[in-house]
Amino acid sequence: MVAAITTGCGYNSLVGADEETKAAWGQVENVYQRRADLIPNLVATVKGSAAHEQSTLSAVTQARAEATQVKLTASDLSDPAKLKAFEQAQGHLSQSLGRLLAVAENYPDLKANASFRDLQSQLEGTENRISVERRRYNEAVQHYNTLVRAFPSVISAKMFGFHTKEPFHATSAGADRAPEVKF
Amino acid sequence: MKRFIPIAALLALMAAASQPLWAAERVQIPASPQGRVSDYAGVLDEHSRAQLEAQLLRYEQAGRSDGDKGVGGAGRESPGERAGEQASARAGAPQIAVVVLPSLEGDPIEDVAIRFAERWKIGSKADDGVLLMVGVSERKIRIEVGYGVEGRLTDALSGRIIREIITPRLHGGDYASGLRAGSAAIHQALTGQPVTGVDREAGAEPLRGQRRTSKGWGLGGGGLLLLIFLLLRFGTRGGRGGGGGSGFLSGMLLGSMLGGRRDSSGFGGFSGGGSGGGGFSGGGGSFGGGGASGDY
Repeated sequence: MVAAITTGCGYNSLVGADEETKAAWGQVENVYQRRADLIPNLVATVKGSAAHEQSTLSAVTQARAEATQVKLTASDLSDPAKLKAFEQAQGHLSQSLGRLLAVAENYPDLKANASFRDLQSQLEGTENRISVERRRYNEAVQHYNTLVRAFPSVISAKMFGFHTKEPFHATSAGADRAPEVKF
Repeated sequence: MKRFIPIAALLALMAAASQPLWAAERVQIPASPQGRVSDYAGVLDEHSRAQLEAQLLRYEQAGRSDGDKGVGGAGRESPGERAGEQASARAGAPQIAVVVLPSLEGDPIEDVAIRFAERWKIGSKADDGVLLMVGVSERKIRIEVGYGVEGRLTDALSGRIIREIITPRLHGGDYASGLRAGSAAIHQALTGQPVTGVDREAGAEPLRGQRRTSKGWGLGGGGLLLLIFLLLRFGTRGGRGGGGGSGFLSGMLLGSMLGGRRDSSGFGGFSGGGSGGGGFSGGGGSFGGGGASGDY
């Protein structure tokens, strides 16, 4: 009887959707971490050709340090403030990276440097992965939130304490898309 | 009351299954590819197209017969192990698909490429598919790399293949040679060989961001249990003479379970890893946005 009620009220679907959002979030963290991993190398390479761009370089390093400090647990995903803090820290890093790459434009020998071009490709690829995983996370959250709010799974959700989760919000049009990294 | 519960669950499931896919895209994706080579822009003459098709088929078959010798865990090696060409050349049957579009209609090529790759499920369940896409009027190139082979065909290497192999040839207007050489380079990378025609082997990349293959089972498994449970309930009632509706309902449920789940789950839809003859279909590979883009 208990099984019939929980099954009927979409408990299994809820658990599944909940797990899916957690997996999707794991991917989001992975790709952001992947970006963070690329930065020391990028900074070192740029420093080699453009040492006197010290302030731009240290801004990136600092933004990276701040961004990697914001870690969310699975239960934080239901907290709008925490997700916002995560987005802000990562957004800040995106901006300072953008400035660094714009500065790199002025150094022809940097642009011709093979390892810098590889880093560019890696960074572009990573930004693209970020937008893909953000989209998938948002899709997973949308699916999960629908279950949490809709009848009859809402009964299970209330009974077992499933809360809606926060999707990513694009701060401006196209902000969830990889920044145009032009070289 | 109890008998209504499964129906309500069914409705909820159907509602979940019919949620809209991701928004506003302009390029329409055909339900199935023309073949390994889908030239919607008509830049290849029949001979070149057939030649490229045969080339890609050969790669796949070579990979598959090697894979039959029994090597599990395709694409799991770290980049450091790439030196052992023999070992990595045996990993699975990487599937390469080529798509040439007349126009990207304003969409970024990254978005268009991943939508094609997801829709057609290029590659096997080892997520070893690669899509080489060209947008003719925007003069854009993209190599979209499946999760499972990101370690071998890195973003940096993809970028080099585009810049150093494909772009110069397309720039001269020779699509056939550009796509042939590009596919050959991709194949070399996938099988762990050094890529001829690029400066040097591009450096290793962090492997973070690759995902383990079998997503979708968490939910798929729970869903299946629910399905079996519901079918049993409907089945017994049908047996007592409740009748005809149960077949229809469970059929609909089955349909929505198998067909309607999100594309990225790799659960429904396609079968097989690319059939041997002329036909071609994806084998369930999934993608995470790896690869590189370029202009020509």
